[in-house]
Amino acid sequence: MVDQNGTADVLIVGAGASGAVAAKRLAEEGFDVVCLEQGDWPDYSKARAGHPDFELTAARDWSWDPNERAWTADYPVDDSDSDITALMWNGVGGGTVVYAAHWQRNMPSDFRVRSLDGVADDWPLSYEELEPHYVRVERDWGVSGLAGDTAFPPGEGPPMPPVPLAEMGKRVAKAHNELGWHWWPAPNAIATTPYGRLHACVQRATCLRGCAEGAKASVDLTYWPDAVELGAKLVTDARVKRLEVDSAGRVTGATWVDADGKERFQGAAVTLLCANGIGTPRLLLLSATESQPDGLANSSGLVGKRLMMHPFGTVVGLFEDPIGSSQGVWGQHLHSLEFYETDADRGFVRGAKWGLQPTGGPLAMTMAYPWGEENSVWGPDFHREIRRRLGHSAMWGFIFEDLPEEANRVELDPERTDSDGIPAAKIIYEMSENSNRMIAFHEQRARESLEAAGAYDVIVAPQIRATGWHLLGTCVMGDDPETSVVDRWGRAHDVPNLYVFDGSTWPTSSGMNPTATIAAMALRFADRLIETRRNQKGAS
Amino acid sequence: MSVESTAPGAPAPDPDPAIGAELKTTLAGLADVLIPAGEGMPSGGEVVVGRDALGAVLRIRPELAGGLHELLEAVRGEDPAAALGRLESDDAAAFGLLTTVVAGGYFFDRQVREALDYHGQQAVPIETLEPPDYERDGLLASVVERGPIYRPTPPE
Repeated sequence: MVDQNGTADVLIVGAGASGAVAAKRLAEEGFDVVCLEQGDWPDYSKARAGHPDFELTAARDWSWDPNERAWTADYPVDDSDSDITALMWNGVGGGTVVYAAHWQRNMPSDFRVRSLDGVADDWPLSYEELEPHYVRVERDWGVSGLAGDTAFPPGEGPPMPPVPLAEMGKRVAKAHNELGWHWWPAPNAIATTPYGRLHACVQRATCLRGCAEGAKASVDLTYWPDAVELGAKLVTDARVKRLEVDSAGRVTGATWVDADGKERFQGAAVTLLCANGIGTPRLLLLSATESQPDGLANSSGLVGKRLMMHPFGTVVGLFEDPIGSSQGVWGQHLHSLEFYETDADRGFVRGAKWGLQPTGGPLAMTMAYPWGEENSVWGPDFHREIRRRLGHSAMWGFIFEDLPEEANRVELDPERTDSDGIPAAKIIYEMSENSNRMIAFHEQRARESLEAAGAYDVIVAPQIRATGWHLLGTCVMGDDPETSVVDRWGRAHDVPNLYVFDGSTWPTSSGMNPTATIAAMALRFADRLIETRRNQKGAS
Repeated sequence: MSVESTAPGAPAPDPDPAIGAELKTTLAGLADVLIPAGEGMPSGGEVVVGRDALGAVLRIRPELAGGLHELLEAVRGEDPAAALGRLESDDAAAFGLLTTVVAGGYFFDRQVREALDYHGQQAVPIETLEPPDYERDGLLASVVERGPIYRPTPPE
């Protein structure tokens, strides 16, 4: 096997949000960083927002589902025993390439779920401990929004002004004021002015399908060019097969497979896993040894357990007069956290964040989601229905908090493999009764919101499976090695030079889009690694 | 022909020649049921087959040709409405492919887009407003007046 980059100070597996933040921060401090990424750079020539073929090509070239794409960089994820399909982007930038860029900090209660609501677990840190990292990462990342949101403690806000409310946002804001409900100009990882390497957004409402403008802050555009300039080595088409361990139980590096199928080795003193809530436990399970037969760093038995994916919902309002909703940011124009905190009278614990979004172009008006098969456009009412929807509709999207349950999990697929013969992943996930009650409650409140805003008709989207954008919780963080996989700094309890920096570490899922907290946590973990570098034990 | 030319950079092979005149007639019949003429708008068959939006769709999405050919062969000679009902209830993938081709082609047509007053996902630069839209008419002041809504971190 070839070790072309020598032994690095730090090996990072995965070039998504957490890997990018770690690579840049560590390279700034002079660490010799190598990142192995199984995919390639995004091909933005396929981002067709300004062209008439956009709606025809977007779902093919920017699909979120690895099983549907089945590109060489993807690995199969068997979701036949899951209520939700896992979505991801396997390439430089990771999920930020196709995320909606909703930049949501967690609220203070998200770190104290056990203390406040008597369920699940507290995080081994508080909002106040993470807040300085949110502030720093928001400057680096390129975030727009407005300080002073009454759903959060006072503090510094994002560096760019918020996106416009748009006509839909003005109507909903006024309605919420009449109802006495919270709303705030939405935080987005979208540039509203030229910012660093980002151009200003031009509101084509195509954020989820590769931003053609270079306005959405995805880490392939923001962090990675800086990290590479600082000396980090980013190796693409590099699929990690397993982590290697020495006789002392420390990770020596990773065996990986290049684009030609050739097996290689990358040595490192310290290894960071940043491969998302499915890829990271998959790799730990693949790295089982004689002394750790249930998977590396798995003495707790919790590697792969407690998978959380955020049930998702949508409610659409139809308005008589045009509101320009084929355009805008997607993204979110405003958000509401009115029903985020637990209220025991509702019959469930925890809550959801709402984001107000456009609905897109004419082809999107014909789809079963969010419109529902019972509202099919086909047939005699086609033209009336398209005109009713196109430019006349706004929708609330909800991120519902799901609580950790050990039965919801990631395993190695006993049968299927990826294109290099490495066992694929299988997920088992069942939505809970708490989630179902939460969904029903929020959908009813959203109906009231949109009706108050002037909608003459409201459509509650069907629950569909293809909504698992957020992959969390499968290498839980905690102070007790018997009940957690990594400590509060992301370090594996069982392996002193192995870290998990991605959303796998989350003890609970919050009801927020997770990228802001994944990024802030990665920065916090990286800072700690830098502070303690002299004490760090490497491989022998 | 009002259909847009193939987008820059997209491959431009000939459409699948296997979708010949008879299958195009079948497709037109299906498209007319999915999208009938009315309210000043042409039918699906008129645009997709008559104006050859099909050719444009298959130049952009050549991977759809095989499945389209297969489903058109399967319903050839059937009553279009009955065939659509069967596809919709029994074969969601085929129905989805068909509606993608028909509606995708229909909305790719320039005349249709103009009739809908839809001009694509246009560039609309963000204006700097003073005061910002969220401050007008006391919108945000009302939220601030209602005060914090979060639960603070409880003492250890």
